[in-house]
Amino acid sequence: MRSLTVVAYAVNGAGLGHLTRVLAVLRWMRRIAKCAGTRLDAYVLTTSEASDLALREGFAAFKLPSKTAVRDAEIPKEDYLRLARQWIWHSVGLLKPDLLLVDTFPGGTFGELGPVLDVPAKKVFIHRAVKEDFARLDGYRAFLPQYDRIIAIEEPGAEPTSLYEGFEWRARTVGPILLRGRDELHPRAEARRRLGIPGDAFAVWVGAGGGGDFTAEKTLRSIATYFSEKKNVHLVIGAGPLYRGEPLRGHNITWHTEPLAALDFPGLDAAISAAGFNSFYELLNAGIPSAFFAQEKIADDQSRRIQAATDAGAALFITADSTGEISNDALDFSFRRLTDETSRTALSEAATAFVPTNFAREAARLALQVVIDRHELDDAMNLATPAFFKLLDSGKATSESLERALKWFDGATDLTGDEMADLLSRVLSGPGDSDRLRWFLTFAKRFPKPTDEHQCEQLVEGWLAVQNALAAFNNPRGTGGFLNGLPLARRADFEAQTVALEEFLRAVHAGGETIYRAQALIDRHHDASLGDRALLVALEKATEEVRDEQRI
Amino acid sequence: MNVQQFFRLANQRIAELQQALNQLKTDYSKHDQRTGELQQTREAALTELATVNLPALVPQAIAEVETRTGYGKFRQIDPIEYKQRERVRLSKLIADIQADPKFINRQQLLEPTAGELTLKAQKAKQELDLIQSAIGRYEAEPDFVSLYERGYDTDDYKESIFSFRFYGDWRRGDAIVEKFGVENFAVLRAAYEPLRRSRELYSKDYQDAQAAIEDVRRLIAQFNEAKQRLDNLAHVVLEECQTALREHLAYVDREQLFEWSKGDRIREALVKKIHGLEKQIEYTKTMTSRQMQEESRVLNEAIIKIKRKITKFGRPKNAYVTLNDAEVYAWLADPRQKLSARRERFWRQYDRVAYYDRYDYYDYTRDMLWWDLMTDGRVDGNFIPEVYEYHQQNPNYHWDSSYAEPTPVLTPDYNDIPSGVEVS
Repeated sequence: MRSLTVVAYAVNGAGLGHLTRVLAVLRWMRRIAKCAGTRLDAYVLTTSEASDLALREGFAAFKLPSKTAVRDAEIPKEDYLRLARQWIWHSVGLLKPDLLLVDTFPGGTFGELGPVLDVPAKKVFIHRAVKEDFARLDGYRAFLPQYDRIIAIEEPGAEPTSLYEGFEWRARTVGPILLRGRDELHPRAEARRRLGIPGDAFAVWVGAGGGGDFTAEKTLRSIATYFSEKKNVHLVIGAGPLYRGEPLRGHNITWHTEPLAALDFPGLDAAISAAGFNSFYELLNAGIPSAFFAQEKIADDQSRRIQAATDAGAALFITADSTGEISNDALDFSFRRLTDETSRTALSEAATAFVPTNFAREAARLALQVVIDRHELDDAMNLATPAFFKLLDSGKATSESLERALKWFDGATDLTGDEMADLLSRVLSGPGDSDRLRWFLTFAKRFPKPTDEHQCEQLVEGWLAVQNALAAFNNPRGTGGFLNGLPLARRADFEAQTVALEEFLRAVHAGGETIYRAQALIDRHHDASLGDRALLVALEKATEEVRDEQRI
Repeated sequence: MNVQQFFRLANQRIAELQQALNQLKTDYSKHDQRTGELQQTREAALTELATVNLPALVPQAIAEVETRTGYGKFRQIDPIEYKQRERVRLSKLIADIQADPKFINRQQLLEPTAGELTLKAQKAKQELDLIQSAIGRYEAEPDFVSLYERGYDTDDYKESIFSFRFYGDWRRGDAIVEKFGVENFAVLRAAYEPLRRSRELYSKDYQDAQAAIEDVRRLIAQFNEAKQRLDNLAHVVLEECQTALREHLAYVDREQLFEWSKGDRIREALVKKIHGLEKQIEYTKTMTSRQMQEESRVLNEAIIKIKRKITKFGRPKNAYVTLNDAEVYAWLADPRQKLSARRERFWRQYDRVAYYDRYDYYDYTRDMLWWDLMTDGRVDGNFIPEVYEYHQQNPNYHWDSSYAEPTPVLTPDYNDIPSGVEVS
């Protein structure tokens, strides 16, 4: 298998956004590359204090302390910057990536990427909008032309940027990139169980982004105090993995500091949250009626983001003062609207329309375009659909079995990932407790390899019919033996053979015979000299024998 | 040694090695013979197990079949009831046949010299032969039948005057008319036509007579078969049941079958014996195929090496080279001696597996491989897929030689198990 080395660089201090976005793109890049027959060796270089998120997503992260951590540790800033520059330069130099993926800061936050941009074969920049005065800095604009591809995240309601003048052809626009899309989240009941939300309690998410903002504790405390008197309200306080303040506990509080909180968003009824890129778009994508407040950031304009959503009727704007505190009046006003049924429905519908989809897959495709042949990539995209990977991640079959199944279908080039996922789902939902996919493959390999979508469909339908007939014997061990012992018939008509096989098995079962006797009958009647027709003839003769009432 | 002498020796060696290659299959024919013996023994053991499980068509034995073997057919079709039904069916069939006039008059119909149908068939045949001899002189004439069937010399003749075929037919028609000495083709047609119709008629008569004879013969065969079956019904039904059960037993998972034996020592011993025999067949097949492949590879490599030397010294520039004798003999070293030693070792291991007979030592409750039991763990069996997979899945597995000792419980010698006797 070919390999592709990718180094992703995400600078974070008091947040998680850059790392999360980079991981979201890497996750899909790895999936698509795999479908293109390429192994993605991904390295994440980050300063985020929540680098365990990379571990959860199955990526190796190499970590530098964030500037916040250096300040708290009272390390001289110059020493840190010197070390950080050298560390990044050496790391990228040693890894010699085929592709360097950088988020938001094209030259790093202190120019640390400047010396290394010559090393990688290709460079891709994910451009999340930054404040106008930040974007106007020469140190920001000057690095942009050095990238082979710029993936610009166009936030709903934001002004189009003019930063790419002269090299617009390198830029491509996508919508918000999320680590998990709506289709990948847990079902509501499971999410509520995981979050510990009791019965019919009204669940409110209270979030302050990644938790690293200096106002986070005060904000969370003011909201929690307001809700402490409310009956039948359960707070899920998403303090974030970077939260360092005093935790808030209580009988109606779930204290949440884990990353990937979005997985459980369907369990919520409303949210009051900071408008950091990830929290904001994850909540709206999940259709949660939300009120957002803005935190002051160097480069991120959260107020503009909230304004765009309120203009679209997709969220409420709630104001926090400079210390992060939110007044009871403001909370009262928002809460009334968040609990009003009509208002909630309108907010939820507008939210899902505002952020209809996750663009991580599209961003990954755009990034891979610079390193993988276009036709190969198109084929891989055809296969690498969300439904297909949802099935792969479901754990219903071993990865080895799934890989073998994919190989068996690889002749059907017109089969899309969604169709493949649908076929395999049907196989996996069939009767039987054992590894259904392993049995399916044992069966499939007896017959001609499918060469198009129609034949794949026929194969799965045929298998399900045969599997149902086999299930009647209620003998998993015997079924395995029977399928293994079934003679090969790879050049004969598939449909005729499976129909005959199903009919035979039903006759055997109706006659009170066992699966072992079925095997014996096929073997006895199988005449290899008949070539392609041998199995069909054997099945017909065996069926006739089983149905002969004048024989025991 | 000059090049010509080298060529002579080299070609001689190639011939010897080639002969050894050709003889490989014969050299290993002992394996085919032993496989045949093992298969026969397995078949016999299976029959015996079926007999032990269903020694007679008695309710107790029938009731136990499913719990002891997993074969549930007799729950659905009770062999005793089936026997009764079969008795009724056969009796009715026999009575029906006996009442059939064709069967009653079978002697009169089929008597070889004066039987009614025999005479009818004979007569039709004689007429047919007579007509055939008369019609033969026309049909023996090339193109006659074709011209007749296409209506030559009649209004039905369709060939165009502008076709080659028209003139070809004309030429053949004239030639035939001239040969038969008649005026034209219409005269021949008039003579041939009635003969042809008569042949069709008599041919049908003959076929009808033959079909009637076959009908009576079939009835007689059916009667005999039904009678024979009815007379031996108890034995026949038992045999059919045992055969069905035996077919089931041939494919049942051995461990499952052993569990179903529920401590019955005769059944357990037979299951172990069958399982062991199957493993012997599997192992010896893999061993032999591997050994033959290895020998074939060595011999082929030796031949290729010598051929390369022949090619090298066949070049004009080497025509007058003098070769060092010691080197030449090294090139032409005979690999068969080494192979012979390896083969001896192989046969020793083979015999150990192929003639192993202490199946009763196998213990389904222990982690053990038949391979290790048969070789006492002394032969590396990783070339056998089953052994390799087992070792992969159980990396901490080690053969314990004490497993190959008799179990404390007295186990009956499988050879002494009486056929068809129920002991539990």
